[in-house]
Amino acid sequence: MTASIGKPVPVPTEIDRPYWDALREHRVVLSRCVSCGWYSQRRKMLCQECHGEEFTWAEISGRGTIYSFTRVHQTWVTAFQDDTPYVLVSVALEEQPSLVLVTNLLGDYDFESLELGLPVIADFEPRGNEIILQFRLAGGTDVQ
Amino acid sequence: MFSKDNPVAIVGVGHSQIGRRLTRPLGLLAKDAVLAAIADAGITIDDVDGAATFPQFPEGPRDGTQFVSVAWLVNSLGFENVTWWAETQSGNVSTAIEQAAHALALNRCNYAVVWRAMSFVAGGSYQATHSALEAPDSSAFTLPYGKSASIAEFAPAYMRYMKLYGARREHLATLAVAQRKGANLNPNAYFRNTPLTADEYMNARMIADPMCLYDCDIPVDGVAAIVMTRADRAKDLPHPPAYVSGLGQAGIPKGIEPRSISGLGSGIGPRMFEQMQHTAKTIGKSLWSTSGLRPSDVDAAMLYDGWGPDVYFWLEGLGFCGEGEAFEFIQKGRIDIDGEFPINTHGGNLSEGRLHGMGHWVEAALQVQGRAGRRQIKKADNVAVVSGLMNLGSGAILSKSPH
Ligand SMILES: [Zn+2]
Repeated sequence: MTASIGKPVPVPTEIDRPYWDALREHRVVLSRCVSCGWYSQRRKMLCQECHGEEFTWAEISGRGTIYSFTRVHQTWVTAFQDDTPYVLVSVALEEQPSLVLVTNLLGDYDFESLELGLPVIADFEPRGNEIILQFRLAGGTDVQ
Repeated sequence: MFSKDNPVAIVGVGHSQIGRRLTRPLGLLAKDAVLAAIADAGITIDDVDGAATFPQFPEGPRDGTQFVSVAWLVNSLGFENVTWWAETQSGNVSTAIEQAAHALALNRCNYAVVWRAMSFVAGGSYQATHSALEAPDSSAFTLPYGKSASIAEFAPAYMRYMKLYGARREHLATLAVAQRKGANLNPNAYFRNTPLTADEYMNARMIADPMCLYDCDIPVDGVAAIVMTRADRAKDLPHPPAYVSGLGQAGIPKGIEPRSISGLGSGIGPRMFEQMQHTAKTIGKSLWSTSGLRPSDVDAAMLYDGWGPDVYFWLEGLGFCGEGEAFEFIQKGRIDIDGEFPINTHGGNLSEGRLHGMGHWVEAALQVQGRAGRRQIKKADNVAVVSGLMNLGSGAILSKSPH
């Protein structure tokens, strides 16, 4: 998962712009309800917890745990055909475990050793003019 | 039970040919299945006054060749007496069947025909191929990671299940093999002549861990149809009625990205595990409350299997076993045709072919009617049938007698 040339490049919508701008600074920010603090990856029309309609962008720790994962052997994304098998990880965020984000899992590890609940930490991968959020195992494992 | 005074029942079923890359157009396959169901029910096209389907997916937009709308079929077959019809906008044909049951119960029609027409897509896969190097809008959160197909949401759900409860792949081999045995006894099944062993399952190529080829349904061209009416009319028809004694529809969970069938894999929503649990639980809650039955009253179940592990979620959510117990529940012959709780005796989506749940409804009716031939189970007083998953779909309990 090192080559970024030829891989799909995010084309952010205007409303998502703060999320992508922060990634360029290696920070993870999420949309957050002003009245109750509920997070979402993208800005919502209303908060499901309190029905609030006002949101801000708030930085999070980038820490989370593995909610689930898979290793893709057959892909329908053309640019990934030479990369199979590759891993997708679902990460439950420390600040709000009900919010689960999906990325690749960077670094060197044995797929068979992956387990639910393993701690992960945000990482950042250049992709075109943007930087995409990634995760890698936290603590002890090799960082590429 | 649902509609106690004059219960609704399935009274006839019909299949078209099922195959891959059939030359007969989808509209004619629909004609075959619907006319077969009408003939099976012992009625005429003039009797038909209700019609429903779920017309979307897997591809469009050509009515009659890529999908079959109510208007196309009613017009083409010349049903002149239709007073009620519906096309469910989201989900599964099961919700069209549920709506037909309600329309019959309210006397809005007397004989409803419901069908599901599925085409085998030209490219061979339901999943769109993404070749663009730009990932706009919500795809900015998926395609840059190589996440696209629906299996990228279902495989992690199954992985979570295995890790939480200790299930292994060989447990699910039991399901695939049992369903294939049913398909081998089903003259309509795509895999009617092809056996499957547990070894073949274990050695199958992986699609997305832990899902292998035989955990995926088999896309086909094919149509299945049913005819429904009420007890007062059913008594004059040739076959015993399969009464709809319970009905339920999937609820929509709070706080989980809503999924549409066309948006599968392209959105963010990674919590399919909980979404499937919620769907099965909410359908189950309504099934038991509308029927007055309990899971222990049910003799067999036809459970939608777009992916093999779906069956775990249904068994647990509907209450046939406890959470985390389904993978052991299906072992030791329990789900075989001669077992104590047969499942998907027709082969299901995995082995009969992907009729998108309609095959399950046809089989549930045939079992309750005692017409399943070599697949007939010993006791079929009450059979559960559910199709859908995610936040969509409906189910029923079909019963030999009105409770
Ligand atoms: Zn709020």
